[in-house]
Amino acid sequence: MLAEAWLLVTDAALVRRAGEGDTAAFEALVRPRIDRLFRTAWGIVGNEADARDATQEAFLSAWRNLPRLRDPDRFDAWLGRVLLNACRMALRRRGRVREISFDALIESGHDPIAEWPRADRAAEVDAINGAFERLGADDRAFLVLHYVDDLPVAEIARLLDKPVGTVKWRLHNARKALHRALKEEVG
Amino acid sequence: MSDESRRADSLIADVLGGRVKGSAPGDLVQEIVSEAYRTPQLSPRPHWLSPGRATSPALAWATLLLLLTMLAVAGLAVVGGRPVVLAPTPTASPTDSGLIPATAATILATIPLEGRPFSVAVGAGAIWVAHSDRVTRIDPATSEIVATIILGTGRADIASDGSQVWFTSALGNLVGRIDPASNSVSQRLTVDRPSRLAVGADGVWVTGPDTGVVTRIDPASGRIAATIVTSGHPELIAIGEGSVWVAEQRAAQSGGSPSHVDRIDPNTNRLVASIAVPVGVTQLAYGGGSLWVSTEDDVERIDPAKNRVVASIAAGPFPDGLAIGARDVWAGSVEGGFSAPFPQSRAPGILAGIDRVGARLVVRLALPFEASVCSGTGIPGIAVDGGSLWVAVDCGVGSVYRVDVTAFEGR
Repeated sequence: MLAEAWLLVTDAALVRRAGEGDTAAFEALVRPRIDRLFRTAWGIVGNEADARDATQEAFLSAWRNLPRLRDPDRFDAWLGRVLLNACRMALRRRGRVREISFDALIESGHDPIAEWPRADRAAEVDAINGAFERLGADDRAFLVLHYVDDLPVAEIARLLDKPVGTVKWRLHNARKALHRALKEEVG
Repeated sequence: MSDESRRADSLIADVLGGRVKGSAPGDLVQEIVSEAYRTPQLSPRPHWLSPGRATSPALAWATLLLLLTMLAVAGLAVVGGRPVVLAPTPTASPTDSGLIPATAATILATIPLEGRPFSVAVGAGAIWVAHSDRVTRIDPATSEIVATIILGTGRADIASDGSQVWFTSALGNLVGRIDPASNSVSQRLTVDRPSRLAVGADGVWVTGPDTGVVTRIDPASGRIAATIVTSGHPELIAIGEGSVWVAEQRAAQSGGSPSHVDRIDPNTNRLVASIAVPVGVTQLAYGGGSLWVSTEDDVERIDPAKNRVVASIAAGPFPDGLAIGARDVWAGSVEGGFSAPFPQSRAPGILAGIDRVGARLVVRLALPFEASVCSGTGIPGIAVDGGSLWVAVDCGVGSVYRVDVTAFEGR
């Protein structure tokens, strides 16, 4: 109910109010965003407990740093980076990330993902999940935003505050990293 | 895109989508907002870094270089989160900034934890750390984890009177007792939205900032003995001088009425005093005949005989974790750096030692953790066991530092 009272206030105004210590304005910023951020975090870290921690850390970090956010219109992009940082920390805490080096990737003119060895459905699912667990937080983020949140490249670029070309390149690399991890996963 | 690529994309989307099995829990927004209410915000960017000034990349790098140089001069260096020994003894000379760099001789152990730590306590011959959805037991003889007790729900606090070990779980509406002999939960009690707790004064005392009450539990029967309505939203708690002391944890920028510490008489279960303190209280601890209150700016000393603040000691920015040592009061804080968007900045955690008798700052010890990735206030709890401080650190990888302060307290 509290958040509904803020419907007529712009996000930029809410960001400014929250940056002045107004927790009601902050709540009005959190409510419409929490599901998306929580789902993104869950996709990246892979379990509900870590996703909860990462989401909470991201919002609290945003709260603490809000007075220093220079451009309120970039709040979502900034929050996206903060969430990614929180997910990175969650993965570091678990210590289960084995980064895949881009240098070792096989350059190919073909779509690497399409070249996966075909297996039965259950084996494929297990292999993809296992391969995903081998990726770093950044690669996971690009893949989750693209495949789970079904966001177009332009929207990912806006959320992560990166040029569209960079997002395309990073997404391509993330797919290649997944391919590489999959090959390691299936031996 | 070929059919194979489309099939692969569809498969990835299905599998990754299947990793996410629900929406945000209903209580998460309230939990975040409640914690924001208690969490101080950074002051606005210094004017020399404000928009239109000093924003060129060259100057930003120069500033960063200068900060790193200052840290190096202060005798502190961090490589991969590990301390680099810059001084041979724990009594290295203070630098110009007054910081003494912690050395390998000072930091006896660093114990990584799963998830965020919330609290640490000493009791029943062990160190107990509440973190994530569990309690971990550490053997002080070896500084190694010897048991982990899964509570199933998080946001826990833990406390001991030296023999009994009790915990709260805010998300589970649970207060429980741990049996140190079996490392298992031996008693469970439902309490509405509990927060912190303290053991002593013939009871287990549990604060409820959302309910506005302090719940007293009879440890013998494990039943609620009294529910005491306070004047605000009690969260922080300490026991000493035959009284229970509680205070609201509220960030200064939240405004509202001035903060105060309520004093409860266990004999009558009634409030007997309400003591005004500066706004922004972060922690309470009792020792050396005084109640010590950390606020966002200072550590306040309250004289129980006078029921008022008798001294204010500047102990660093945002002192939080607070513990009573053999000779000093120790306050933990994180100096400077915080989370993104400034991930490149690194600054130390600080343990400030305050002489209990003279109520003056006597030492500032720099801990080499990466403050730029701290959550909350960075140091949510400190416990004392002999000459060691057990410092819960919520910065990137949750951990507990064991810090030897005998050399500092033996001055």
